[in-house]
Amino acid sequence: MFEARLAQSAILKKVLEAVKDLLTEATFECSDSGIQVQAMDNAHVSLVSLNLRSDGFDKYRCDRNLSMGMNIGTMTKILRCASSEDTVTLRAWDNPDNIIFIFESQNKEKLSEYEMKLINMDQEHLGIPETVYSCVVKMPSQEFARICKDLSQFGEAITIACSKEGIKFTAAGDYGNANIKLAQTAEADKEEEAVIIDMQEPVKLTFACRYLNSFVKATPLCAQVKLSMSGDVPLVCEYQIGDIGHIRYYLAPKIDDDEEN
Amino acid sequence: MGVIGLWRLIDATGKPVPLEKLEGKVLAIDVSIWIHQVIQGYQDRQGNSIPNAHLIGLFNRICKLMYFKIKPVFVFDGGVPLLKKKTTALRRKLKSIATCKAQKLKNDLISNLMKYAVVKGTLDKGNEDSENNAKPRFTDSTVIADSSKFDDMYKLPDIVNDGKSVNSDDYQDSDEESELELSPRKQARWIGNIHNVNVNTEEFKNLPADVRYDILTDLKETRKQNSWGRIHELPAGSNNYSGFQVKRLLKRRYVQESLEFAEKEMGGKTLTLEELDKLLTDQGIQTTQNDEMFRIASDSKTRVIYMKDKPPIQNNENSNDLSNLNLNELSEQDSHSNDKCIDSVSIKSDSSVAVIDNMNAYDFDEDWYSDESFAETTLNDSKLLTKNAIPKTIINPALSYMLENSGLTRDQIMTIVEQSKKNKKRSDDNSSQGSSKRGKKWNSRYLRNKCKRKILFDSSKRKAEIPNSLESATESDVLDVEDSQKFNSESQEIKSIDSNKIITMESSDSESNDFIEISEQFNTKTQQIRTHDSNKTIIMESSDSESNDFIEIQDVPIPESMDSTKLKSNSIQITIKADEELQDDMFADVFSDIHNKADVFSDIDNKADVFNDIDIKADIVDKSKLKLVDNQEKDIFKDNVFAKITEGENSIPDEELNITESVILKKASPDVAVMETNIKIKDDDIHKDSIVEKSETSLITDSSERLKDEELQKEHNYETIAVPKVSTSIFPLEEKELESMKKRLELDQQQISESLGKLERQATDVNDQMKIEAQELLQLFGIPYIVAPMEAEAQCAYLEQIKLTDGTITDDSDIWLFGGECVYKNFFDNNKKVLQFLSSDINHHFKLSRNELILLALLVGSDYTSGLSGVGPVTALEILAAFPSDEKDILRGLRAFSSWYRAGKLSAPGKATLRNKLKNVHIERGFPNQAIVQAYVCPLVDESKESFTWGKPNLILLADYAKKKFGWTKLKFEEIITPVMKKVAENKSQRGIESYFKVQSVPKSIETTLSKRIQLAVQQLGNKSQNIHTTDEIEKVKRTTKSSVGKGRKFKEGTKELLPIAEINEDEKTVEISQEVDEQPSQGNNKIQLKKLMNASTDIIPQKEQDKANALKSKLRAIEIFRKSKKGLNRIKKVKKFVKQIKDEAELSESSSSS
Repeated sequence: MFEARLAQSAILKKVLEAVKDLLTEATFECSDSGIQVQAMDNAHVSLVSLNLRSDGFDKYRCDRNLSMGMNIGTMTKILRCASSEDTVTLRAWDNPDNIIFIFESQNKEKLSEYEMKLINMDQEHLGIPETVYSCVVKMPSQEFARICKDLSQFGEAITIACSKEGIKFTAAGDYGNANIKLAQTAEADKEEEAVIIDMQEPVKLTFACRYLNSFVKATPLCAQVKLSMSGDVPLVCEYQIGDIGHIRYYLAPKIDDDEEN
Repeated sequence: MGVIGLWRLIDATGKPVPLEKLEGKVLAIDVSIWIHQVIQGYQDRQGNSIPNAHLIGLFNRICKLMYFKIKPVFVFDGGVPLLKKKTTALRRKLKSIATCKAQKLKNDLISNLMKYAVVKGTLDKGNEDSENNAKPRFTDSTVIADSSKFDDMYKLPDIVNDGKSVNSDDYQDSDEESELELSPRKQARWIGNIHNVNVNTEEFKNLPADVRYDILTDLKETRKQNSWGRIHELPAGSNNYSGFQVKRLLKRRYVQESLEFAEKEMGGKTLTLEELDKLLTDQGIQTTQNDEMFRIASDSKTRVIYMKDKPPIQNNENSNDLSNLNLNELSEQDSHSNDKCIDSVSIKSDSSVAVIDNMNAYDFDEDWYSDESFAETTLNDSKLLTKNAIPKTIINPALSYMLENSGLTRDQIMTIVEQSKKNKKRSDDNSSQGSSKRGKKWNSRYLRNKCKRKILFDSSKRKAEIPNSLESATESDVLDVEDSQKFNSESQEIKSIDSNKIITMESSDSESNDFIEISEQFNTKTQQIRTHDSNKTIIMESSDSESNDFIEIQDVPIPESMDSTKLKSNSIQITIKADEELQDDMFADVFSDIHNKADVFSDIDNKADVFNDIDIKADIVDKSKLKLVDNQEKDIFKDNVFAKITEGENSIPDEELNITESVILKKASPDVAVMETNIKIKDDDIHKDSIVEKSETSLITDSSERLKDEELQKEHNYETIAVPKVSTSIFPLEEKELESMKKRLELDQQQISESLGKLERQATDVNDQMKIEAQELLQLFGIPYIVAPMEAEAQCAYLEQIKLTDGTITDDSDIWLFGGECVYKNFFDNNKKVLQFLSSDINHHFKLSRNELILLALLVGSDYTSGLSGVGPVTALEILAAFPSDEKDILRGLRAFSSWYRAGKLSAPGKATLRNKLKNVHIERGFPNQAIVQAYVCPLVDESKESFTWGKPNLILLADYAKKKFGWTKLKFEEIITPVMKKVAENKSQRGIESYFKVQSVPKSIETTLSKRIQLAVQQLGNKSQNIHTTDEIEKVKRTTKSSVGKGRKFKEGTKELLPIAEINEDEKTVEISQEVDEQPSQGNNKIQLKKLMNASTDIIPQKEQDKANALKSKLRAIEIFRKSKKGLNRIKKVKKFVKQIKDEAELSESSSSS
């Protein structure tokens, strides 16, 4: 039997909001250590990796490892039925066909139960190699979201160039070019508001705006976003989910055709 | 078109793929299908064909590919493999046969329906009156009625047609039977009509008084019945209601008035109860007991009531007869026509008229007229003596039957007329004989009986095609013919045919029978025919249909020709014979026409007329079937020979005057006949050419090729057949003539084949032209293409195999058999999602490797083989599961299967269900055809490994091209091309995440979407591939442990349960098993697994022997596999075996301990 309880459904809500653009369905791997989701988007360009540790839950029980295919759309709908203060409990039996969402209001007066059918889907597990990234940039997630949004009006792709001085976002399109530079914050009061660049060597990569705009949907989860980049390696865009876990987005870069041929 | 049903089977393995994902991929595109699409008519949205539509289509598709940054490689078809040609030809043939059969069935259905109507009518009517009379035959008729009921109910609408034609002739013969047959139509017509009749119209008033009376009474009677049906007529507003009511009252009054008027007008003359009864039945009112009351009340003429009683009796009797009579009612008609020559003559002329005029539109007035006349005739009938009355009424139904057929198709009528002619002849003979021996009356009855049987047989033949029914025919013949030797010979012949069990021969037999009847001398001839009969194959059907169903040929000349190509020389001979006889008949008739002697011949006179018609028809048909021209020619040729032979035979003194006369006539004017035929040939030639020209567009290359072949074959036959015949002929002069004719014909053939060759070229030119244009366009786009030496799919698969492409875009499932690995389906179908199919997925889910897919194709049919009829993909899967093959010998399994099947499908473990499913399967000779496998495994491909390069589209040239070919303006062109070019211009391409991370993908289980049967079969297939090894191992293990039987027995005795055994095994320190047990979560579980293993081993135990040297190793492997295959094999539960197996198990464990 699997059971996991979160004091506030808000976290789960936000997580779902953060992935629902990219994923239509995903396999939730539940084990003793927690819940893991790893799924590629439809076009297999990006990867979402969600990790919720078991110790982050109020109550967590998992007798047997489970792989539950869930329709993200349906799940989002169900979670919308919960108010953010509600306690949410996920429950499933061994070899489940269904997963049950139980929402309990704060004053324990209301108890709603939703049962969702699990779906049968391909299980794809990507072996993500441990990579030492040339550049790791930490910046306010709000800022990043803003930049992505703004630049995507100019072009379909954003080039991110990272150097000692700072990080530069560029987009070029039919109407013109857009260029945003962020310098490393010298000293910050709060770590979340700072732009911190940890760079071994400069990197310049191009990514599709579409995906970046999907990633920044995770902004409510965390004030700070961590971008890790290396040459010709997918961008990693990481948001912490409280103290319960994290969500990482991997995005394959766009490569110049000349290089390829 | 690929492997039949394969896509459907593997559909579940397809994964929808976003087109973005295909970016940058090199995909081979199978264009062969596109060309086919173009051939079959590439249309715009309005359904009009647009010039260069195929190029527009191609253009758009290229744009689509480029937009998604796919790197396409277009692959064109080179040639068509021989196997494929054959299969398509065969398919087409089968299709045409099927349509023919369907046509026949349809006709049968309709005739059945008519019969049913007759029977029902008489049954309804005559039930109470004539039980005595009816009883003996009643059973028969009801049986037939029952059998026909099934089909009838569904066919009702067709009758309208038939009824029409019946009506058109009714006025002449006006009989009850045809009346009755009208009823269904009337029902349909009347129920809607009667209340819509406007009583005040002039038309109505012009109707005869009695008709008006009928209608009006009916109106009155039925007014209340369907008030619900007219509820919609009620006015919506309540204010209008009273007006409505008044209107209705007025109308009623009108009806009443006109009724009274009609009554007055009628006085007391014509309206009979019969008529009323008829009308009522026609309108769907049952006129049985209840109507008795009504009749009396409405009609005060008691005399008529008696009349009414009488005719039904006759009716009943006759119609019962009738109901027994089937198609050959005509023959009966003829037999009676002998009794009553005048009648029959008129009827014949009628029938011929009907044949021609049956398409006349239905006339309502006529209908009424026939009613009237019917009444008159019933009166007449009642006056007639029973003997006379019977034939008369029978004649009429026969005629009506004829007419009902005439409602169908012209050819049908032709055949019937033809048949009737033959039957007539026969009956003529019969009657003459009968009169000499027993007298007319008896003969007519006798004949009827005979005919009945014949007909029964006929109907059964038509419906179920039971060959044995022929026997009944022969029996009847024997009975009939006891007295006369001629008939004996006839029956003999039928018997001989019987032995051949070729049903279709029947028609030709009848022809030959006629011949025997005509003159004894012909017996030799018919014997000849008989000998040929024995050689006949099913293909005879086609030849028969040639002689009988002319228009069928007209409709489907190509299939017909295909049939004839299939004909072996023998069968062709026979075909010709049949035709020849037919023509001889005709000639005889013609000649008799000239002389016109005996009374009997007055009939033939009429026949001859009809025959002339047939002749003409035949001409037309022959012309239309240009491919069979040679046949025709040969026919004529044969005719001549035949005539000659008859001449020779004529030297023997003749016995029967009339017939000899005809023969003499023949003799006298064979030259004339030859002349005629020559003329015909000429005509044919002319028409041939014209038709060739006409059909050039429709003709596909292979068909024309086929024609050529056929012609060649025919030529060959022509020589082989004709020459010996000529040699038999007595007059050398004739021979010469024939020779000259032959030469001429050969010349003609040459010409025709030449013209066909030209056409062929033209036809291929169309294809090539399209290909060239398409390639031109591709060049402008800078897209590489290759022309495969043979099949494009094979080339695509090859390109994929040598990693030049990443996949193939095609909708043709053949690609799997050629070794395709990644196939994108529905790419250009905007209504469907693009599906990606992987051969690995297919292998994973269905355990079907490429070899197995080829085997599957052999079973279900593909482009290269028509497969086994009655085997679908699921059954095929089961067969494959039951008869596994191995890598070395792909066909081993299927060979085993076919031998198993031929051996009578012995039940073997795992094959019981299969046996049930294969009831209707027919395995053709040489079934697992190695050539097909070879064609798939080693297709002819271009093996160049040169990689492809893509250029940039030449926009300027493209714009010009679009303007020239499609008439696109610059603007429109840019509108289409700009987004594409923008995409192309993007110099960055999105990488997939998979290129960075290693993907371990476990495809989802698709079991839920599969049927149980498929699941089982797949499971079995999966196990088989494993068990080929495991069984060997298990067997080996067993052998190694044979020595320790005693101990094994101990276990057997000691334990009926498995649980203890397992424990004992453990005790015995059987390492592996105990391990196994330890691993199990529970003992019970283990028990099941043990059982499973045992069953598996019993299932498979069959085969190989290997050296004992590997025993230990293999045993270990066996156990390994055993562990793996825990899941399967829980299907069979046999306790006995299981106990026995325990021993094996024990031994196994023993051995392991010992070894």
